[in-house]
Amino acid sequence: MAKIVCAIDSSESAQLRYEAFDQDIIRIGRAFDNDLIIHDLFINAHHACIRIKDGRFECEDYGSLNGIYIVHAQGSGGESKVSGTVPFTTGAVIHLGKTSIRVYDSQHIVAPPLLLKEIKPVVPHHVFTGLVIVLCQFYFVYFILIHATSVRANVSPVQILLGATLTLLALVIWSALWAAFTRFARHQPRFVRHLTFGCQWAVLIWPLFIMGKYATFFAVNEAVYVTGFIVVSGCMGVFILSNHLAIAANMTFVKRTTIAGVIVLSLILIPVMSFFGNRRNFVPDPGHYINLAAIPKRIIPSIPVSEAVKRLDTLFKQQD
Amino acid sequence: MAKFFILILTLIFFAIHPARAEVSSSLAESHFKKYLSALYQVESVSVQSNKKNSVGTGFQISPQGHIVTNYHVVADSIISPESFHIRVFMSDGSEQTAGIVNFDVVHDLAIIQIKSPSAVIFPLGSSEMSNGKKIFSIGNPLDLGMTIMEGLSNGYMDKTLYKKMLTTLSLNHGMSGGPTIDEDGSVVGVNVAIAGNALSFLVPIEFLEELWQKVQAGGRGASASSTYQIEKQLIAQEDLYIGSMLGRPWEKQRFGDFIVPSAISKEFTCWGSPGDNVAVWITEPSLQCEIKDDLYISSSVSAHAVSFNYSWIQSREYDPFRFYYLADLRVSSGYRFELDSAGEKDVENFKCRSDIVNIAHNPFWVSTCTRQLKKLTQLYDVNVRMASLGEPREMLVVELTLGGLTQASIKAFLDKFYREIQWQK
Repeated sequence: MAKIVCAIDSSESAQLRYEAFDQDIIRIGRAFDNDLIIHDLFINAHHACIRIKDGRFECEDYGSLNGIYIVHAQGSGGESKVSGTVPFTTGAVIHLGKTSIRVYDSQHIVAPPLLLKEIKPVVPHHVFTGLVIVLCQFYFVYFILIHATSVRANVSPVQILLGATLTLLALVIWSALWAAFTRFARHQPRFVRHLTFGCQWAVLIWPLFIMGKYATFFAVNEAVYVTGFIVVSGCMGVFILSNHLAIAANMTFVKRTTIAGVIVLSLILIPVMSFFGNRRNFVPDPGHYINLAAIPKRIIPSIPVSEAVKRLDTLFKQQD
Repeated sequence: MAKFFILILTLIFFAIHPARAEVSSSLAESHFKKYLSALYQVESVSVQSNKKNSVGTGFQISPQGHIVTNYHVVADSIISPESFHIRVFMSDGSEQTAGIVNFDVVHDLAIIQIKSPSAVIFPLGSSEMSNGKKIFSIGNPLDLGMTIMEGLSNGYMDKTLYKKMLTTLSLNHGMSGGPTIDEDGSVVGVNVAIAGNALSFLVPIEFLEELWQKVQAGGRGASASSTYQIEKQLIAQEDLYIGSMLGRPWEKQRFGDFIVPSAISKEFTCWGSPGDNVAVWITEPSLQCEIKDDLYISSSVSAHAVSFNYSWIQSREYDPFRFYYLADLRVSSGYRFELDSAGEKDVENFKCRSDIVNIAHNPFWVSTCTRQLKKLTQLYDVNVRMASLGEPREMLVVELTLGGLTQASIKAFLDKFYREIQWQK
């Protein structure tokens, strides 16, 4: 039995949207980890929460920019921003940004039951969408970005423009898919929602790894290259993970599924994508050292001929 | 289809007919008649399919049934005795199997032995030949049947690594291993290779005599150690060959901003191309040098191959980053090794490493790949690709290939090669 029922009037749709919640606390905001997500630019990512405490409703503002306004069931209030925690009763309307939420307790369900979204797990659907996201991200962004703009022959400005346009288009398509994915996941049960949330972050790690690769542009030998790659990618990873953990720490639901999503997908994605996208990484060739053009030859560290000949032994040893 | 075949056979017949008609002298006729029964068709036969893999000619030199042929005719049976054996056809069409007695990889000679030999043998002649002396060559061209042809000796070549006699004979495939006799009927050389139109090489008789003496002295053990013996012969030859190459000062030439080794010994030939219009944005003159005399070991492996080519890549229009990206594609476009058709059964996989080496006061990106030969484990193939760094619009790209050499020779050669390159702007 739902404890809190909300009727939401937002710019998202012409109709009222009804949501029912089982828990004692509902977080409201634009961010994905909220219990009630509202796509309204005038609302903060984590805007406010509604709680049931000792059988009574109360509303807390998280220090949001635009604040909240409460018009109580009796018609009073609404003139000024609420600060801190404010108690209210069923039927009150909370105004946040351009959205209004009327809050009821379970005894006062006024919405037609059909409009209450019955939530069913759709795991195959989720897996499919996840795959689409991964593939799109991989093909569009990586291949087109790298290949369409790469200098293979006598490239004309038109070709570069075309490459850039394609890249931009790919990013738009990717973003659209990302948004669609988010919209899809929003109506899924919490477990699926949080798992997919984790997946999205894991997918996001990959382009950051590519960025890590190109951040090592000034590597002059393998050691510097590898170190640079690990440091930059590592920093990215730590940044993403800490960011994610910070969000997770703020959430009321079980965090383990989300973190498991990140870890599992990262573990699968990174080697797979490394293999397909970056196979040349595993063979030493001058490909990573195109940057040497920018460095005066006096600074490039090199070994003497005698040392180079001596190092042939390491190759011969591998064969024996 | 049948008509087509008849046509071809007729054409071949007419093509060879004049050659036979030329040898109208009674001398050639009598020699041919006299020695026909000492001639054999030698085939290397696959054990599995019982079909011939290579075919050549052999001639008998002892009453005990010792037959001389080329190493390359029976190479497969020597390298892989488990998959190939030798089949010999006598002039009357009877068939026998033969065993390897001894061979000389370097001079492409092999002596095999059969159990029931013919009574006729070829006498070995002397190796002193003057230019213009008339000689006759006998063999089984294109597997068409024993043929005798007449030619002139042109003395010994000095452009080849191994002593060879140049003749005006028009040898064909299948005549390999056949004898070349003088007017007295004694053997003066062994047919070995086609040099061009109506030009052929012979192995001088002195090498055959050397080998024959070894056989008579009872050298050479069982066929199990044949790969060991090949290695031994190759390494002995390599000491002379690479040793002499390293001992001499190398001929060099200016190429781009560098002075690079070119024809480093007289056996090398170099070819150049200006490469002005490789593309609108880039010029790429190139220089290729190689040695023609690499040694045949088996149908897919050769040894003692040395080749190198240089490209001088220049661009006026490209910014350094694009130029290097492009140059990178040229340098790293896979580790191709086009020396031979060596497959999985012949060689190990390449092992590679990369270093930045200071050559002629310039940093060079050097990618070195080596692989070991599977049957001859002391020998390696090496492929080195190197590119000069640090100049925003110019780059020297070198690809160096060494085939079938020992570790020591490879190291010594590369050391010298790197040190010989000079920079002069």
